[in-house]
Amino acid sequence: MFQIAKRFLGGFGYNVALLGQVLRHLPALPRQLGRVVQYCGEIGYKTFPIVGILSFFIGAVLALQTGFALQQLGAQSFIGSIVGLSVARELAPVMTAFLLAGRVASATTAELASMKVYQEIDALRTMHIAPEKILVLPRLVAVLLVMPLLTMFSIFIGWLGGQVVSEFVSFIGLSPNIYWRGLMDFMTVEDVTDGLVKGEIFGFFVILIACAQGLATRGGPREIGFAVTRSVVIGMIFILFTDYFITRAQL
Amino acid sequence: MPPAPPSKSEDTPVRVEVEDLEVSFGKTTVLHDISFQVDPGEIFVIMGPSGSGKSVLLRTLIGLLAPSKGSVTIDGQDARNPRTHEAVKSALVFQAGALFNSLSVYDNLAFYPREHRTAREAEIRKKVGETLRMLSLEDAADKFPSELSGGMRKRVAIARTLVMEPRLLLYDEPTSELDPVMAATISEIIGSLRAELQVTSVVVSHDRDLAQSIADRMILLEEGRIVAAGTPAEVLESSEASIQQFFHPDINVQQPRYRASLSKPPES
Ligand SMILES: Nc1ncnc2c1ncn2[C@@H]1O[C@H](COP(=O)(O)OP(=O)(O)OP(=O)(O)O)[C@@H](O)[C@H]1O
Ligand SMILES: [Mg+2]
Repeated sequence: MFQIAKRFLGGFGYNVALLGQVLRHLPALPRQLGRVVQYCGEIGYKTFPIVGILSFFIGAVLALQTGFALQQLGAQSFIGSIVGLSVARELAPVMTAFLLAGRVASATTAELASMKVYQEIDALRTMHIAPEKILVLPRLVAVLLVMPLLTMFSIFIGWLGGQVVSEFVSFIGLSPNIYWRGLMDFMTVEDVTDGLVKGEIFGFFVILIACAQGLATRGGPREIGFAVTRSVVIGMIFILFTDYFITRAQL
Repeated sequence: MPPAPPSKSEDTPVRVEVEDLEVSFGKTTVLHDISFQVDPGEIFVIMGPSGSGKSVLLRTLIGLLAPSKGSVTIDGQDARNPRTHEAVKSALVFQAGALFNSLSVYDNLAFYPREHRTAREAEIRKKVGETLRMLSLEDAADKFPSELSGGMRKRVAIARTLVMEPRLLLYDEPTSELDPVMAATISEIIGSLRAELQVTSVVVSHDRDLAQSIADRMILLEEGRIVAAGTPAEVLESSEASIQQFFHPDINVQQPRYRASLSKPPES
C-alpha cells in the first residue's frame, strides 16, 4: 500500500515536472507550429469518425431509455431536454476523452516509449534539442485546439442520435420540432461551455500523462507495451476521478 | 574546483577534464576513480573489454549520465549542464546508432540544422549530400533506418554527427561493424577533422589498428578502472614497465588482464 502510494505520488510529480519543462519552452512555440498542425491532423483523423459513431449511438440509446420511461407518463416532450443535457454536460466530454485515451494517448505513449528505449530521446539531447519542446509541447497545444471541436461535434451528433430515435421508434414517435424545441428551451449556453471545458481539461491531461508515461519508460521493448497500458488506464482513471470534482464545481 | 573557463571563441579547440569520476547505477558502481584530460584538438582513444564501462564513460562525458562522485568539465564548464554542450557543440556517435526510426536517412542528417536553423534548406541539401557521399551512403538517402544494414546504420550515425559540425566529437565504437576499407575511411575522417577543424575527439574502440593509427593518447579501461594510459605505443606494445602512471602518479594501476588479447591480431 505504501509502495503504491509512493509510486502514485512519484508519477504525479513526474507529470508536474514534465509540465514545468514544457512551459519553459513555451516561447519556442511559434517555431513548432508545423508540428502543432501535424498533431492536430493526427488527433482529428484518429478520433473524429469514431467519436461520431459512438456519440450517435449514445444519444440514440439515451433517447430510447428515457423515451420508454417517459411515454408511460405521457411526457415524451421532455426527451429532448434530458438527452440534450446529459450529452452536453457529461457523456460527450467523457466519451470523447475516453476515445482520445484509447486512440491517441496509446499511440503517443508507444511512440515516445519506443524513442526512449531505442535511445532516440538521448540522441535528441546530445543534439541539443529538448524532447519536451518538440515532442510534448506541440502535442499539448494540438489537443487544446482540437478537443473543443471534437467535444462540440460529439455533443451535436449525440443530440442528433436522440432525435432520430425519438422520431422513428414507434412507441415514442416524437416530431423533430418538439424534440429540438424541448432541447433548446431547457439548455443554456453554459451547459455546452461547461461540457467543452470538461473536455479540454480531460484532453490536456490525458495527453500529458501519455507523454510522461512514454518518456519515463526504461528497459526494453516489453516495457513499451506496459507503458501503453499504463498510460491508457491512468488516463481513464484520471477522467472519471476529475469528472466528479469538475461536475461538483460546475453545479 | 576547475580553473576558470578559458575564453570561448568559436574556434578554440575544446578541452575535457575528468576528475575522480565515479558512476553508479543504484548500488553497483560501474566506473571508479577515473581521471584524465583530453587536450584541445587531441584524438583520445578509450579501449577496454566488453562491459568495462566505455559507453557509460562516454554517456557521462556528454551529460546523459550524472557522476555519483567527481566531475566532468568541458572547457571548464560542468558537463551535466546541457548549455555547456550547446556552447561547445558536442556530439556523440551512439554505439547502436540511435537513429530516428521514423525519419529517412536524409531527414536524419538534416534534423540538426533544420531544428537549429543553422542553414537554409538549399545549404542543408548540399551539406547532407556531401556528407552522404563521404561515407558512401548516396544510395541510402531515401531509405529508413529499418532498411539498413548494421554497418550502414553506423555510418549514418557518424554522418549525422558530422553534419552537426561539432567541436567535440565522441565516438562509441565507430568502426565495429565496418569492413576494413570503410574503417580506414572513418579513421581518415577523424584525422582530417582534427587537422582541418581542430575537433577534439574521444574514440571508444576495440580496434587496435584504429587506435594505433589515430590516437594521440589512449587509456585502457578494465572493470571500470584505468589500468593503463599513455601513447598508443606505450599502452599497446610495451610491457608492464611502460604502463605509465600517467595522470595521477598515485593512481592504483592494476595488471591489465586485457593485455593478452590485445597482443593477438584483431579477430576478423
Ligand atoms: N543503464 C544501466 N543500468 C545499469 N547498469 C548499466 C547500465 N548501463 C550500463 N550498465 C553496466 O555498466 C557496465 C559497463 O557497461 P558499458 O555499456 O559501459 O560497457 P562497454 O565497455 O561499453 O562494453 P561494450 O564494449 O560491450 O560496449 C556493464 O556492467 C553494464 O551492465
Ligand atoms: Mg559500449
